[in-house]
Amino acid sequence: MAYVDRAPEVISGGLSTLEYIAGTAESKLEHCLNKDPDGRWIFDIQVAQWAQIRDAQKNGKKLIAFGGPIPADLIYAFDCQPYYLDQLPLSTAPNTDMTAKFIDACEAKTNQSMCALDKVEMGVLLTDQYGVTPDAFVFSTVPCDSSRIAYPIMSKLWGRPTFNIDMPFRRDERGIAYLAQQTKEFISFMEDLTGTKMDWDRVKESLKVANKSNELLEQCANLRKHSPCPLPGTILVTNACMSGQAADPAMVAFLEKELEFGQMMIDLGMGACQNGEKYRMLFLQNMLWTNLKTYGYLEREYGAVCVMDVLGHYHANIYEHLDDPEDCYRVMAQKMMDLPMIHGAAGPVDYYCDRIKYLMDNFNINTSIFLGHVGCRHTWASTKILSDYIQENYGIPTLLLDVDCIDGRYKSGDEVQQEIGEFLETVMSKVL
Amino acid sequence: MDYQKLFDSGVSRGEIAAWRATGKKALGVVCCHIPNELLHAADVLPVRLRATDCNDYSEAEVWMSTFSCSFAKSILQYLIDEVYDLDGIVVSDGCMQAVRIYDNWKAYAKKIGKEQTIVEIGAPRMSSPTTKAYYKEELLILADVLEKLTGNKITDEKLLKSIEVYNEERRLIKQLLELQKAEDPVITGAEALTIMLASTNMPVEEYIELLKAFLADASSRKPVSGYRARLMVIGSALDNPKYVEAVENKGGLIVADALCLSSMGFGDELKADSSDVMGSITSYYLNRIVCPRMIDNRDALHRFVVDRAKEYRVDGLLYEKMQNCECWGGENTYLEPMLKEAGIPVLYLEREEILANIGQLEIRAEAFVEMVEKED
Ligand code: SF4
Ligand code: SF4
Repeated sequence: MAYVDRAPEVISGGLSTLEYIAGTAESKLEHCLNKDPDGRWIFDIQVAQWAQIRDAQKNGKKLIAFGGPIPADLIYAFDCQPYYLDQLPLSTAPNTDMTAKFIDACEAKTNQSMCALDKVEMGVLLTDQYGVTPDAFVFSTVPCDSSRIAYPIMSKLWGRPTFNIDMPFRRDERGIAYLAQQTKEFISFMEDLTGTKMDWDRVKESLKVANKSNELLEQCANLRKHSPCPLPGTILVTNACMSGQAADPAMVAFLEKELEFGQMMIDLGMGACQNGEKYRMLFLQNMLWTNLKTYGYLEREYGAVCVMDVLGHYHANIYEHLDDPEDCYRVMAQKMMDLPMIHGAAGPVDYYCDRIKYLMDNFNINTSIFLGHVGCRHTWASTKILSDYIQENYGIPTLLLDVDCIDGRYKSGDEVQQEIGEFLETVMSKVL
Repeated sequence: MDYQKLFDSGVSRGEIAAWRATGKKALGVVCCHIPNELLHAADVLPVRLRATDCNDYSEAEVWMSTFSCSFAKSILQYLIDEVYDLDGIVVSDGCMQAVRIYDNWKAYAKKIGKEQTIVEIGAPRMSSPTTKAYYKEELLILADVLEKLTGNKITDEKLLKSIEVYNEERRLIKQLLELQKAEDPVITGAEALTIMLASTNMPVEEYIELLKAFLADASSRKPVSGYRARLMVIGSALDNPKYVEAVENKGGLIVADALCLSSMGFGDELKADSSDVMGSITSYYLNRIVCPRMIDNRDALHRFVVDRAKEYRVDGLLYEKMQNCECWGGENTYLEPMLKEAGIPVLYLEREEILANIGQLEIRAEAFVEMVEKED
């Protein structure tokens, strides 16, 4: 069956975002099965993830929308389905017109300074195009001021039970204890919501799956230390989904395939850059969700591969003592602190630097680019500290490049490619 | 007593220098969740940081980029330029751009080898027994830092005394705000803001004396008459009376506000329970309504704004938002219908810390005043 782009129906208001995203993933899988069945794993995960969200309530599961760091592994343990809201804008971003519709709908009601991630999430609600109403909304006080403006408004609009977690600024033992305590309060909330008592055996099952995903994610990340980098930049998008999906068996299946693929590339002596690898790039901030093709372009044209993005880097935490709930709550707390956007951006900038240090020291990086999402004002407010840190410790300059990683109207993919290309050719070629 | 000092809105280097010359410490304070009482009890001068009249923050912008809030950048600039020459700063994560003053000043001070006490206090963004307990510990950590910095022990007794001092300041500010309720008030909005900003420039005891002198003399002041509309101003950090003055020059008298550097920063009296003084301070600062940074106080904030607008019989409301300020971004969603119901029109204004476009403000303010003024 030929792929039919149903975006115009979303733009005209006749189709929900959920139907659109789930349907698009299914069409792409079908297309892939006809052309390149070996590549199906890339689409299997998308199909599974969106179908689970779309069909949760039909299957008698409660759908829990969430934003920011929350103990998502527990949602599975209560046999509920999480819906990590940031996945929505990441999925619509490639379609500029559709994304623009939701951003405009949000701006008409609130605030142009907000992050486009939140604008899309709110705009879809204002146009009533989620395609589903969650049974509860759980959100944290970070990642940012923008989400803290958007989520309470959305919560009011949805009018569903809400639970909040306060993320501490500090990332230490006290912070962990604080989050662990709130995790226990979250359990009470889930018990009330579902009318069931927490069953630790079920929790353990969920945590085991999460452990497996985390181990695999770490192994996949470690493959990227290899030169040439065997995995393309685009696959880094998985990091962003891990906050909600680590305890989903579909994530395990996906990561096993990714690991297999990466290992095969290494065995074959191949890398993501078909014409040879020259620049091993670290993206200090976001992914370019509007134009993921840029990653392939840079790999092909410049031998420049995005080895890791710092904001999205997910540091795998493992539940070591599954029979010790207190210990598990502490790991959950640590996981919340280590999530993408949270570890570096929502706390002291020192932790951002620590994360950069880990990646610079271990991933053989030679090029640094702050692909800064314009909506993320508090990370922009640390650019000099970050770029100085890299210059002083690793002797390389950082390109500061403003993009809107969700709203394609801000800057086209071509412009971004050109700006990065010029930096590589005029600056980095002399440094290396 | 000459209270003219209350009418100087500039940031005073002299006061801080004089304080420090006696061997005592002065710390800059960012945002509203650092209790003045704690610093006062340790005999530290709390200097609420602002950047009134900053007209060039280009160096700070190199650190914080063009995409960040210019109020936060201007404060960093004033620290860089030594307009503020302090022993350090205490920052709470009021908003996520303000908290970058902490990171950037720490990096800058290190770079130039300036010895500073730089502390961040995590202020929870929701109120519950768990968050309160956490915040209390944060304040105890701050108390510890202050004790080490000064060698002064912070006892419950000292805290209770400091609470009483600041409560007196709060009572006097209430009296000041009461003056604005009159049909023809004896102060303009720009003057009221100036007087409140002056509190950041001097020891609280001195401020109290000046306020008392002013209030005693207030009835002899000439009432402001001839204005065309009574207005209230809410929104992002506003530390420049010239902004208010521009509106008032166009016939709109500002008689009320919900601004963190103005009336909201003072608040109601702190009721202390002597059996748990730190607990009382914690509850007060966590529950006090100041701005939309909290995740769970927005309904209360909206109600507060509408109630205050009614109490001060305003004809219209100015909602000013600093460019790039997200905190004050979304309140209109629920506030606007509430204001509409109460019959209060709103004017939305975007601004920057530097008052470059005052002509534009005047034009819009004049049109708004014309729209909301009541025919006699
Ligand atoms: S990208 Fe930045 S501004 Fe946007 S949601 Fe994440 S932390 Fe917030
Ligand atoms: S004006 Fe807004 S962005 Fe700036 S410091 Fe205040 S709350 Fe933060």
